[in-house]
Amino acid sequence: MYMLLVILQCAFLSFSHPESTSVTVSNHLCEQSIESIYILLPMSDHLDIIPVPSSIEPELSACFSFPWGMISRIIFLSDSGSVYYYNGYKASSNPDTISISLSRKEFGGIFDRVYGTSPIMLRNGSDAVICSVLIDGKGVPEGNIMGSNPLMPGENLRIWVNSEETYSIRFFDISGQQSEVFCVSSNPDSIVEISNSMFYNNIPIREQSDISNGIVIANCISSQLIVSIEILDSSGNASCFLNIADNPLIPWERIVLNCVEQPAMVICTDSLQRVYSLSEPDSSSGVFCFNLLSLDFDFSFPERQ
Amino acid sequence: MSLLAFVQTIVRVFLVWSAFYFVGFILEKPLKIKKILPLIPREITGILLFMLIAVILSLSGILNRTITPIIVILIGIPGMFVILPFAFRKLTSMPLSFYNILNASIFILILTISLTYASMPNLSFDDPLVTYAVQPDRWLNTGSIYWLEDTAFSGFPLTYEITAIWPASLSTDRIDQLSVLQVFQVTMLLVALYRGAQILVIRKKLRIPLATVVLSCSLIYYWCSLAKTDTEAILFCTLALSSIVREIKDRTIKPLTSWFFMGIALATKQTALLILVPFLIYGIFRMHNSSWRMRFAALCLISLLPLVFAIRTFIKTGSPTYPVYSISSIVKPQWKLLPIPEEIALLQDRSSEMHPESEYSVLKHIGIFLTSMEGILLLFLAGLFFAIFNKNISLFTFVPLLLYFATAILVFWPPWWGAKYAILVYPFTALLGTSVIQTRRTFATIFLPLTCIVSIVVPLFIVSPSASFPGLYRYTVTKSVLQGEWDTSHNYRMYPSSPEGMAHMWLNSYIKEPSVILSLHEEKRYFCDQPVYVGWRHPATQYLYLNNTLEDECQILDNLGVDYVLFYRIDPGLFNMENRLLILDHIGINDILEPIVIVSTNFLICKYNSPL
Repeated sequence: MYMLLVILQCAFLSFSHPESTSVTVSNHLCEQSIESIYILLPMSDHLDIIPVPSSIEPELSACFSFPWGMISRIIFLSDSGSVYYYNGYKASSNPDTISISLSRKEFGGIFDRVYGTSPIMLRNGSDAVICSVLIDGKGVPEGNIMGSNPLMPGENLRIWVNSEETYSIRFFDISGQQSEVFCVSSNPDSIVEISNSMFYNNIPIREQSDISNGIVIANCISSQLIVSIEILDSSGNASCFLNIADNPLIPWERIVLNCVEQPAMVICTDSLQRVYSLSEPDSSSGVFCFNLLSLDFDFSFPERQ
Repeated sequence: MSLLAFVQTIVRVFLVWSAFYFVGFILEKPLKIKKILPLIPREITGILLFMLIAVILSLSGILNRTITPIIVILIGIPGMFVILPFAFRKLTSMPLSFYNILNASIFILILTISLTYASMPNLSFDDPLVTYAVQPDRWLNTGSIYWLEDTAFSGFPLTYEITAIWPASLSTDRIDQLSVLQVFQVTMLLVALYRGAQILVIRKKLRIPLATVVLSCSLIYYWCSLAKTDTEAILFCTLALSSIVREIKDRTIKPLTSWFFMGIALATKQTALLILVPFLIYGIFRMHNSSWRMRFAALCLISLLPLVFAIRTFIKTGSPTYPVYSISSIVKPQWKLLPIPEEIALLQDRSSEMHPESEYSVLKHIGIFLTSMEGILLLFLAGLFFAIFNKNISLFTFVPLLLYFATAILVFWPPWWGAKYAILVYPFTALLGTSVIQTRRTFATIFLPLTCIVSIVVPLFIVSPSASFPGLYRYTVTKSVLQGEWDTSHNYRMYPSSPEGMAHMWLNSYIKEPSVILSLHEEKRYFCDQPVYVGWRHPATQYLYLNNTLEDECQILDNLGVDYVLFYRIDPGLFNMENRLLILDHIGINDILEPIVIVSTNFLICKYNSPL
């Protein structure tokens, strides 16, 4: 019996996978060297560093030891600050090559900014096209960490930091509007939601009515002024029409309008006469947040639009 | 989607056919068409005359959504007064036997299933939204038939697109227009079956079960409900082949109608070229002792309509059949097409290892090709069996079709993918089989309904990737359309749509000046008011996908006057295509591709800022 167990153990050991495997990373980037490599393993809440003794120059390759098995994401940082990635890589016993080229660039969806190994996870739940992110704290660089590719609504930003200290972060939208500064520390279990309300600061709310019996309308279109607002009731009649062309609603400005019952539709027009409409306010804030996706569009033929 | 909308669509399509029929009815005698083309049905004369009217309106610049529907209504309503009493007389003349009532009830059920399916606008399938439904739509919006510069597919042939102007003109918006065009296709199939049966003198009693067999076929159910050329090509191929067989049987009939129909089929869809295999065998057999004058007339008739489109395409591009089967050496430089990018070619190569079906054996492939015909194959085999064992029926009748099947298997290889291109002969195959077996009256009267049952029951259980229980799926669609609400009880979803349609409609509202749009991958343009160049498809933009510099790429975009570029945000190109599209390294605020908005979670609309 004992012998059988020994044989089984030997067999198991001979068939079990090795701890690590060798992977060649080949740099096919144009005039960019790969300076560092990080990996995120499944179920892991931190990044692991793959030591890169010397940067991988363009058209050159280097061999690295990767942990055997599935790797959720491999992140490659170039000397120009660009981030490249490989999702769902299966490092196996077979010698393998990862080719890093433009097709591996972080075009959108999830952006990783690596200054350490513990994540601060942010999701752009606002309507702002966030083109600058400034972070203050230990071990992080000064200035915009996003580069020129913005964080679009619905996208995620993971800032990997070393310290468990608190960091203060500010966002800037395309119009230059700054969000509230908010403080956060790394926590792999929570995602910080960037909301529209963080951009309302410094701009006073315009009150045409008492806020308790009115509705709040916000201009969340960073590039446009709202010049008129119309509220339709459930029977489709205009219960309120406000022409504010002389004093338009600027980006991130809010206005409170008198409205006894919940409107069936709120329609806004921007300075280029584009029409936007919303039938419901934002469920979390109760504000009618007009954004670029509120733009009216339908299946009409051109002459009937 | 509602019962009322469905009925309205049916009425509008009927109005169009009434107009076609009425014009044919009125002008048939004065034009003496039947003298030259004795087998031509009135509504086909009508289609051709309406095509001519469309060209005249186009030259006058009034082929718009006001004048065109008025013409259809003004001609269609009196047409209804001709058709409806005629149809009523036909119906009342049918004996009220159990056999007829049962066959008619099954036919109405199957027809309702096909029509309701067709009335549901298909936003998932590319071709109509890339070109076939786009051309009539844009022509009606601008008031004239013109060459769409943003696509390579605006040339030869255009019969379907010009015919489709008329039903399209009766629609209220772009979604409704798709629905009308799709239902129009199914009715074209009905005309093909009805007129084909008339031409081949098939007994009236057998026509309804025959039509049920054809309509039940899964490939027909799907492909004849799309707003594209297939069903019109089916119509003319069926008429051409039925006419030539009739002209062989009855040598007193001038053998010209078939050649004329074949010409229209070639001017509808280029795949109809393969129908020349059976057609020419029949045709040469019929013509072997005809006069040279007759042969010359036949050649003139087959080339008449294709020649019109070929000349137009030749003047524009330098090659008469551009972009398919075009002669590369004579194509004008600005229209020269490069091979499509290797990544897309790999995906489109259906015999590549990417598709697991490529491992099928040859026998399985042939089996797939033949069984795709479902009940139609049974009618064909029955006819063939009769021809083999009945000395009165010539086996030659079936030889051209057998040769066609062999050629089609080779040309459209692999058959799991290519079988759909063979649907052009499906109705004729069923008609030919029935015309042969009807010589045994009792056998045909029993065999047809039995084939009907097999045709209805078998496809219900043929599993496809989109529907694990096709019967249940068809029932879900019909129930949903008639109820006006999608039935979710069986977990079937409506067609998913790729995101560019949404992006185009958004741009329609966002853009305030004429603009040019470049789509890096997705092909549809139906919902866009602006020209949409599909990068890898258009000769002017294909160079983007070659290895070139950023300046070269921007120069291509500048030459076209591109204002907006559309692509998937997370993964903009297929496989590693991004490596050759250097502009993708410049996405950013104030950069070459400046993101504006993401629609449908992952489709990015960028403003193009030229660095040059």
